[in-house]
Formats: sequence, C-alpha cells, structure tokens
Amino acid sequence: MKEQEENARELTGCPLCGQVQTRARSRCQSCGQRLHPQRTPNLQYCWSLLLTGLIFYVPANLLPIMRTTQLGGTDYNTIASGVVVLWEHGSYLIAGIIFVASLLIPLAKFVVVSALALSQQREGLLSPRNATRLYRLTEFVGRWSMVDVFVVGFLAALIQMGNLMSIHPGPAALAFAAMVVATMLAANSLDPRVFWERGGALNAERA
Amino acid sequence: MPNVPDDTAVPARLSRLRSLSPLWLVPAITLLVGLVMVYQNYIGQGPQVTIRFNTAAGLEAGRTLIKTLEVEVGRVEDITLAEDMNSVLVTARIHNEFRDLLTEDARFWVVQPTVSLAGISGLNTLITGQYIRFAPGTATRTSDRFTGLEQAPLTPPGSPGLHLTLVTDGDFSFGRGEQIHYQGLTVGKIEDVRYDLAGGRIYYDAFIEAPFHELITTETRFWKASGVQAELTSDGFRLESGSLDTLLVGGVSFTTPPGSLRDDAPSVQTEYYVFPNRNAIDAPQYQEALRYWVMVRDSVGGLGRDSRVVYRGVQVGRVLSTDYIPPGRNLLDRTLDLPVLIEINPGRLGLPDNTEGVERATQDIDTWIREGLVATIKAQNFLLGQQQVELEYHPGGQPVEVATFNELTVIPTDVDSIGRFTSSIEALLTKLNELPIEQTLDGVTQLSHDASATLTSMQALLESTQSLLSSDRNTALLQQLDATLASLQTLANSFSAESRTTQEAQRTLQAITDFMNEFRPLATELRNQPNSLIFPRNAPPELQPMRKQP
Repeated sequence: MKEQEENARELTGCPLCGQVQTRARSRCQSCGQRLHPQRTPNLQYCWSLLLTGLIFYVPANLLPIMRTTQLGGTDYNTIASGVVVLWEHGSYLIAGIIFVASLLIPLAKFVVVSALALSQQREGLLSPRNATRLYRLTEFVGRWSMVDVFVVGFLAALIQMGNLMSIHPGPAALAFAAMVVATMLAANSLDPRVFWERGGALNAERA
Repeated sequence: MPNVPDDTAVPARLSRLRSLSPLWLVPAITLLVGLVMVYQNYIGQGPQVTIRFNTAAGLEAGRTLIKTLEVEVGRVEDITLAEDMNSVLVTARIHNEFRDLLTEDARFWVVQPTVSLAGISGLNTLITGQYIRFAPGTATRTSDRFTGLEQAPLTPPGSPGLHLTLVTDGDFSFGRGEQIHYQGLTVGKIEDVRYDLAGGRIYYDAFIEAPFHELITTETRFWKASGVQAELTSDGFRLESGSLDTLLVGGVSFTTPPGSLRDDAPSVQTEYYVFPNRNAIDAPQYQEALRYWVMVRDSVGGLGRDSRVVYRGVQVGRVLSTDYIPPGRNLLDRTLDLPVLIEINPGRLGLPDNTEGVERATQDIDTWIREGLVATIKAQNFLLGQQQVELEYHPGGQPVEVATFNELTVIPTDVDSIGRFTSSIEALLTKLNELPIEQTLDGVTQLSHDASATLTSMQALLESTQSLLSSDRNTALLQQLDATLASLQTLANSFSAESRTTQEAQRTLQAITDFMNEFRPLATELRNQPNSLIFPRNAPPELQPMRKQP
C-alpha cells in the first residue's frame, strides 16, 4: 500500500490534455505541454502580481473615475465619492452594489489570494478543503470585478451630449482595470493542486 | 511502477527557483511610475491661497472653480468660517502655471447673475453654478491671502484710464455703475460709493477710460448731469436735455476749462466736488465771508436763504437766515425787530479772498456804518415778490454807533426808506382804484339802448316785407320763393341731427368743453399763485457761493 501511494505521488496529470504520467518528465508525453513539478510551487508570480494589483488599488481609489460635464459644470467623482453621492440620493441598492463590487471585493481578494499563497508556502495554515473553497470563490468573483469599469465604459459611450451632459472616464478607471487584471492573474497563477500535494494532504483528508 | 510507456522520457531539469523571477519587474515598474507621478504632481502642485469673503453663498468646496477670462486657473478646496465668525475663508488651489499671477493687488470676486444699470451679467452662472473670478493685478510681490470683493469691479483691472474720487454733499447722489459723460460721450463709470458719516459726504470711486482721462486736470469741474434742465432768464426760456442715457439714469458730466495744463494731472487721491448743475461750476466760489445782522422792523416776506445782498446793484453777499427769533422774545412783542443774518464776501467786493481781505472789509464796513451805511429791504422782482437786502450809503448824517447783536455787527436799517416803499405801493393801489370803471359801465348801458333801437327798426322792416308778400301780383314770385324754400329745406335736412356736419360740430363742441374742464384747475392755480406759470411751486434756492472744494 505504501509503495502504491509513493507511486501515486510520483504521477501527475498533464495540465493540458490530462494524460497521466510520471512526475519525472519535463514535457507531456502526448501533447508536449510543459509539466510543472508541483512540490515547490513558484509563488513569485502570484506575489508580484498581487503587489502590482495593490499598487494600482491606490490610484484607483484616489483618482477620479468619472468626469461628468453637466450644463457646463464639470464634476469629478472617485469611486468612494460616487458611492456617497448615490447613497445620499437614496439609491441604496446601487450604492451598495458599487461599494461591494468596487471597494470591498478587491480588498477581500487581496486578503484571500495572499492567504492562499501563504498556505502554499507554509503547511497547516489552511486545510486543503478550505483552501480550495476559497480558491473557487476567488475564481467566481474574479469575473464580476470589472463592474465599475463596465459602468463607466457604458456611460462614457452612451452619454455624449456635449455641454448638456457628457461623461468621460477618469484615470482611476484605467488603474482599476489594471488592478483587476493583476489580481486575476495572481489568483490564476496559483495551482490549486498544490493544496492537496503537501505532506500527504490527500490522505489526511480521506482519513 | 507506473504502467505508462516511458519511451520518450526525458529527465526533468529540476532547478531550484531561488532566483528572482523577472515578473517582479511589473510591480517594481508600477511602483516607480506611481511614485514618479505622485512626485510630479506634488512638485507641480500650485500654490494654495486663502480668500476672505463675506458669504459663501453659491460656493462649494471641491467644485467651485476659479477662472480668469473664463479659463480655469484653480479650484476651491475648502470653505471654513473665519475666526471672527463674520466671514468665510475660502481655501483654493491655483494651478502652478498661474503662480505668478497671484500678485498682492489681485482681486477675487464671486460671479453671479446681476441685473443693474450697468447691464446684465453672469447669466451663465444660473446654469453652471457660481464661480470665483480672479483678476491678476500689476504688483510685483505675490501673496497668498486675499480679500474677495463684494461685487464685481465694473472696470477690468489694468484697463487704461484714471481712477479718481468724486464727492457730493448735496441732496443728490449717484449709484454704482452710473456713467460719467464728457460732451455727451460716456467716458467712465462710478465704481463704488462710500458714505462718510462724520462729514455727511458721499465719496465715489470713479474711473475715466483712456484716452479721456487726459482731459482731467486739477481744474476739471464735475456736475450732476440731470436729464432735463430748464431755466428762465432775462434772455428767455432755455431748455436743455442730455442724451437718452442721462435722461433715464442721470450721471456725472465734467468739463475742463480751456488752457488748463495737462501737467496738473491729478493722482488717484484727488477729490473732485460734484456741483449740482452745469451753471454752478461757473459761479465764482468764495472762501471767506463776513456775517452781519440786519434788523427788520417790517415783514421779511420775500426774503429767504440765498436772497441777494446788493450794493449799487452788484451782489456782494447773500441772506443766510430770516427766521431767527431771539431767545426770550416772541413775535407778539411789538418792539421786536426781526434779525436777518446776511453774509458779505470780501471777494465780491473786489478785495482779496483771504484773511487780509476779511480784515480790510471788516474795518471798512465798520467805518461805513458809522458814516451812514444802511440796509433796506427792496423788491428784487415785483412780479414774483422776491425781495433783496440793499446796502445804501448815505453820508453826511449823524455818526452812528456800531451795535452788535449775538456777537455780530448790526447794519442799521433805514426805516424811512421802507416807509417810502410802502407808500409807493399804496399810491399804486390808489391809482388802480381811480380807474374809470363806472364810466365804462355807463358806456355798456348806452350800447344796449342802441341795440334795442336797432331791433325795433328791424321789426318795421319785417312788417313791410310781409305786406309786399301778401299782394296778388307777386304769385309768381311766391312760387319762386316756394322753390327756394324747398331747397332751403333740403339744406336744413342735411344739417339735421343725424347729418355728418352736425355730428362734427357736436364733437368739436365736446372737445372744447373738455379742454375748458382741463383748463379750469390751471386757471385756479394761476389765480392763487400767479407766478406758478413761470416758476415751480417750490422754487429751488438760488445758487449759493460756497467754499472751494479741496
């Protein structure tokens, strides 16, 4: 039994075609895809991208995301001030959505992705099952992260009536998009299989 | 052993990934770019200024813009109450490229919709919201603390021209934005009005545009340009009216006497007195005046403030007051002489208009009083009932002691001459009485007698005509008469009630009646106050000499 387990741990699936083969190979024997030895995951990608996202998070929130020209007067709104304005106008739902999607989720994502990356570096920080749950959640949320950018993009495209009313994206929109891309790439660079690889985690879970 | 074919197995090159991944360049570059941007923004950040306003109405932190010539040069960052709680402090960030414009004399004011005589402005702020207008000054030193103006200055700063101060102390004043005219042209405006409570004067900041400011010298005279000016003089009736502008809003006019030198160019501090009308500026101005009492036994009617004091027909002074009753006395006191206060200007006497002239005039008049200088009240204008004080010199009489009253010398009154005047009036009335009115009436009676005789003879004529008509031989004539009468009838019909001619006549009569009705109040007024046709009911005081303004 023990030998079998040892053998099983020597096997790996090709990330592209799924072909099972020994871990000792550097390329898949079927499709030629490069195989990664997963025991010592390279988390530098994750950390650097996460840091990039964090840097972009600062201008994304400090700079105005939207420039509204209304009847000759020009207004600049950051994400936070937009939420405040919407809240004051009584649009609690929209204010809540934007607050959650644009302020809360990016922050949560930073925390979660760093926690996942840490758990790959140090054993025992998160159980493989919880780590996988968090990973799935991050993947799920990632596709909804661009709500703010979409809103600004749509408004800027739709509302162009010159001096009467027009909306232009601010520099924060670009920073926000860059932040979302960076965090998504960071989350994507994590290999969820690693959660299960360390120290016979698979068996521990089964037991 | 795994049962996977391993023919092409290539041993994995397991390398330890201790070295830094090149991907770390991404956050490094991002951070670097971010820091550079922050640094540049910080370096390029413009100066912060604090502007004090009386109110923050219409201003909004973070939104209100600061503009120069409609170009954004800054933005309001914060609005707080000043320490004294009486004003607001507006903190604004000026863009860096406009840093040099923040001179000490730069001006800030809030642009808001304004409707005034000067025009309508700032309408766009109704839609876009108010903004702060910033006008750079010309000073060389810069500052970061300013006091905002209450209202927009009417003249753009730095426009060529001359700022000066006008003063009024009369019953008229001017408003902000009223115009200054030169020969009918609008050459300037009144920019600000200040009231000096202590001096009872109103000061105006005025601006004369280039090139007209070169007309202003220290000899320039300003006067109130009223819309219409009417004047009755011995030369006839004169009516002047300015342009439509002055008719509607009035303003200030000025003239500079020819020959005054441009070298006398005034500075901003120079004050100009605004005369009440055009003629006042030509009236000579006297600085010094001597005051005397004239005791009047009779009536002072027709005398008033500014009535003339003349000597040999030349005006030498004016009456100051006629209604002074000494304390402790009253009008029912039979022995009361009404004191009339007059002033005599040494300048009008041909003496120097200074203290030296005053001394000489005082001495001379005192001497004259002893020798027989008397004052009489005489009619200046019989039609209007105006009187004047006439000084007469009758030497050769008894030397008179110089009396004083209320610390002022009294010029004796020639009682006899007043009596003479009164008796001459009586003579006039007697003559009026002696007019042959009764004889005229007799003539009228005679006329009516003659008229009745005429009527009697007409009756006789009619009777003889009747007898002529009744004879048979004149039938043909009668028929002709019939025809004539018929045509007369037609003619009469055309004059009947409905005919056009009659209606027109009636209308004419109605119009005449209306006119008479309207005329009646005027006739009544004329009966009550005959001079009202020529002079307004409350005649303005005559021009009065006054101190030359500094």
